[in-house]
Amino acid sequence: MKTEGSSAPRSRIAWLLGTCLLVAVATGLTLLFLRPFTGKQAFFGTSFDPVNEAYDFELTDHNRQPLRLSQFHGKILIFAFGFTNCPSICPATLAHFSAIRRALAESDRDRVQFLFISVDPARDTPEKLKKYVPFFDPGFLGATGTDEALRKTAAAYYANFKIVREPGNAPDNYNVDHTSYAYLINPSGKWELLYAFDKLPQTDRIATDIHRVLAR
Amino acid sequence: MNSLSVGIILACSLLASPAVMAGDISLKVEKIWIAAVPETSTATAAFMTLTNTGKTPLQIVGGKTAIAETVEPMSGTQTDGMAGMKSVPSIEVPPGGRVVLKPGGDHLMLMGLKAHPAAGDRIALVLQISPGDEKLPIEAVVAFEPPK
Repeated sequence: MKTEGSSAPRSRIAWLLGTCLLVAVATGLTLLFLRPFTGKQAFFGTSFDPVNEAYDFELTDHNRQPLRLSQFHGKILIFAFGFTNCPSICPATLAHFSAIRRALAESDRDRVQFLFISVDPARDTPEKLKKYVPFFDPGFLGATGTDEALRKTAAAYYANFKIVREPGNAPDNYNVDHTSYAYLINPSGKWELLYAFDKLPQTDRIATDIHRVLAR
Repeated sequence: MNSLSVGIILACSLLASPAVMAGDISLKVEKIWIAAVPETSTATAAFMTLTNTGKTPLQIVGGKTAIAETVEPMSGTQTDGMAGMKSVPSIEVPPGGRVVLKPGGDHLMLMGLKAHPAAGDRIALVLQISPGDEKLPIEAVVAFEPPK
C-alpha cells in the first residue's frame, strides 16, 4: 500500500508536468502561427527603423516658386529623381505615380503630393518641367535647383546622378544616369519608405502603404 | 522582298501576335507599346516581348517609324546604383529564347520625335532584323504603362 501511495503523487506530478509541457508547446505553436497577424504588419516599401527626419531640400518648382520639403508637412510627399529627356525610366516612374494616385481612396488622394526632381537643370528649366510633369497627372509638381542644391539633396537620400556623353554627340545631347528609387516622406516630415523602381508597378500595394501611413 | 512575302508579313502584322517567317527566321512580337510622352520630349521608347521560335539567333538592329528620325537599340545599365542606358549595335533574341524590352531594361529608343501621339494611338513601326536585313512591320499602341 505504501508503495502504491507514494507512486500515486509521483504519477500525478508527471501528469501535471506533461500537461504543462503540452499547453506550453501548443501555446507556442499557436503564437508562432498567429504572429504574422498579431505582430507589426510589414510595409511593401522598404521601411526605416527608426524613421529619421527627411532632409529639407530647397529647390525651385515648375512655377518658379521656392519649394521646400517642409512645406508639405501634414501630407505624404512621394518623389523621384530624373530628367525630362529620359526615354525609359522617368516616363515609367511618372506613369506609375499616376496609377498609384488613381489607386488611392478619394479621402487619401488630397493628402499625397507627387514630385519629380530633375537632376538636369541645364536643360530642364521650370518652364520645361511645367510642360512635362503635369502631362502625367495635372496635380504633380516638377522641381529642380542649383547643382549644389541638387547634390546636397541627392546625397541626403543616398541618391546619385552623373552626366554621360557618347562620343560624337552634340554638347546638349547627353544622358543622365540616376538612382531610380521613389521616396515616401510621411506627414511629420520623416523619411519613412523607399521603393525600388521594380516595385512601382504594384500600385495597389503602394496605395495600401500610403493608406496605413495616413491612417495613423 | 517580293510582294507576296510583304503581303504575308502585313497579314501577319494584323494578328494579335505578328510574326515574320523568311527562310528559317521566325520571330513573334507581342505586347508592343510606345511610352506616351509630352511635347517637350525629344525621345521616347518602344517596348515589346520578342520570342524567337526558330533555330537561328536573331538581332534587332534598329527600326523605322514616321514619328521619329531614328530607332536605335539601347541597353539598360546599372552603374554604382544608378540606372542608365547605352547604345548597343543590336538586341539579340537567341533561338527558342524570349526577350522582354521594358522600362529600365533593353528598349528601342525613338530619337528626334517628329510627333507626340496620345495614349491609345496606334503607331506603325518596322523592325530591322539581322541576319538577312529582314524588315518586320509591327504596330505599337501608345500607352503610359505596359499592356496587361
